[in-house]
Amino acid sequence: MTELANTPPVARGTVPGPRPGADDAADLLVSLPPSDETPPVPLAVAGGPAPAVVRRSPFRRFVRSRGTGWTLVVLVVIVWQVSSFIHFEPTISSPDRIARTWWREITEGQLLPQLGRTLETMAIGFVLAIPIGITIGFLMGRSRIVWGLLEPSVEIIRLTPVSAILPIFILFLGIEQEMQVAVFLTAGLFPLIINSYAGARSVSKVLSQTAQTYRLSWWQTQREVALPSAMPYILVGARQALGISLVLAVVIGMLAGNSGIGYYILLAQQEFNINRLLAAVLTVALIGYLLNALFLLAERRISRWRRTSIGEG
Amino acid sequence: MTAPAAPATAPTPTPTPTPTGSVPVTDGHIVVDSVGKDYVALDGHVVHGLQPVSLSIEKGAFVSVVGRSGCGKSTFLRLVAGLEDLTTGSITIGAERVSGPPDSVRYVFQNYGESLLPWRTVGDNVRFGLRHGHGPRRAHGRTAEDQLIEQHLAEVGLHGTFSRYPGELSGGMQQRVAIARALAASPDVLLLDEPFSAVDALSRGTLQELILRIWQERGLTVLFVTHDIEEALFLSQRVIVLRPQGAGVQRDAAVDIPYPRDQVDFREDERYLALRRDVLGLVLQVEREAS
Repeated sequence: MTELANTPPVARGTVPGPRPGADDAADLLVSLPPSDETPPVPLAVAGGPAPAVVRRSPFRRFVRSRGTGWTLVVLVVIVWQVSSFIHFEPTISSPDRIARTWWREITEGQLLPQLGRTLETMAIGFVLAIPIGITIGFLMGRSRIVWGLLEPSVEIIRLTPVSAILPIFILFLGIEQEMQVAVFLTAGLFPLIINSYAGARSVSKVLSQTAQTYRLSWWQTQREVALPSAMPYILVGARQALGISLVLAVVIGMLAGNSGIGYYILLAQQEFNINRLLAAVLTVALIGYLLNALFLLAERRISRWRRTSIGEG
Repeated sequence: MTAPAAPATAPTPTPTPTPTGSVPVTDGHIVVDSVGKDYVALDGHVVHGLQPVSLSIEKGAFVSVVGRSGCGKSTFLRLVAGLEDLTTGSITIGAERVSGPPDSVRYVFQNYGESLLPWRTVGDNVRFGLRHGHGPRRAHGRTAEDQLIEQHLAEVGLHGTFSRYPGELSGGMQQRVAIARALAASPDVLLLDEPFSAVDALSRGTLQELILRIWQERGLTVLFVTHDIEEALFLSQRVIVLRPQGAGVQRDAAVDIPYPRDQVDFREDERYLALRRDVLGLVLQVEREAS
């Protein structure tokens, strides 16, 4: 943003020669979050302690826990809007202009189709990564043979940045959807594998012995005891995979391909269309926030029992 | 179980020679014949977890095993439960020779918090016992099963907790759930490994009475491990004292005091006091000799 502020305001539609966005994209790729950045033990969903007996509606709970935070966001937008009335700076535009552009881009522009294409590709990669990642990671944690077989490959590929693998994918799969799905799949796979593995290894000795004394078969032990026990870890893995996928969703469009939200953002930047650029970035941020919230909601649902022991309402 | 981590201790293939005190054991529900257990310590030394023990427990008996920590009492119970491999000897329960957890036996762990399935409700934890139980299936259909679960919960004094989660209950109540789950599996033998030592003192008293009532009503054979001599005497018909450091049986004492036993009166009974002095003195004496 600081860089943008220094560039001189240019009339809409002008295309500059070089691609100033290329370096930014490279930076983004390098700064991909490492998969073990988040602690393996899932933290409680943020939120103030609420009385355990009273069941609040999700909306009221949301207002209670995030109300002040969202007030801050609204305040910033208001200050921005008011200051743009006092002195309009085209490089940072103003909320109402961005909103108007956003509405036009959504209703008749290319924002939604491009975003839709990216999300579709991401969803395919993610949906493929979930069963594969969970199966590999979980079995590595539960079976010595599987662990011995896969551990070296997983470690080598896991520590290779996706940015290094990307050119290989482009070479063999082109720049169309197949390549993009492959990238999402690869990137999403490893957080899932690592966390599923940690979850499978976390099954306590007493719990395993309980399964033994109730004479569960190997398969029953995995299904009824080990997998549910590992579930909180697996959900953390899925959320990490989602985060990485969102980063890549934008980056792929910038690096390769001529469609998708990344390409759309890059184009807006090259055209110095500040309103469109910011509208697109905010849309991506919103999508990220919504997907994450959706995940947290699912996590709350699935691990309802955890809150009782954590002491959260 | 195929856990990737190598176990810290592994059973040695070399059997300990000359099993001592081999009594003719033919009768009885649980027959333990020269059972010993050796471990290999991290430095490669062989450690005797339990030196050969022989005893016979008749059907429907309540027997406690006591001793200081490290005397091998928990090892002994895990061997009976088939959770560990024997180094020497053999164990038979009913007609079944123990190699792996026997079908007719259920085990109550000291660490109830880790033994219950925390993601399942109390009722579904009991359902786990019902589904993985001994003998023919006792309930067909969800409604019949739910009714049976309610009965088991009522039996341990947990009315109306069906849809609560274990994490919402107190320690004593969680151990009750674990007991209800074990009972739902309709076992013939109940093994309890220091089940009440993590429970507060007041709950411990009611839990002791609960386990006695269940034992009498169901005619179970109960093997109870504890470090608390008074608890062992209060509960059992027979108390087995183990020597420190897995050195085998030191004393096998009968507690000839009729049931029902009252928590207060029992502790003033002459016979109880004499036994208590006797057993306590024995444990302390061995302790002094060792040091």
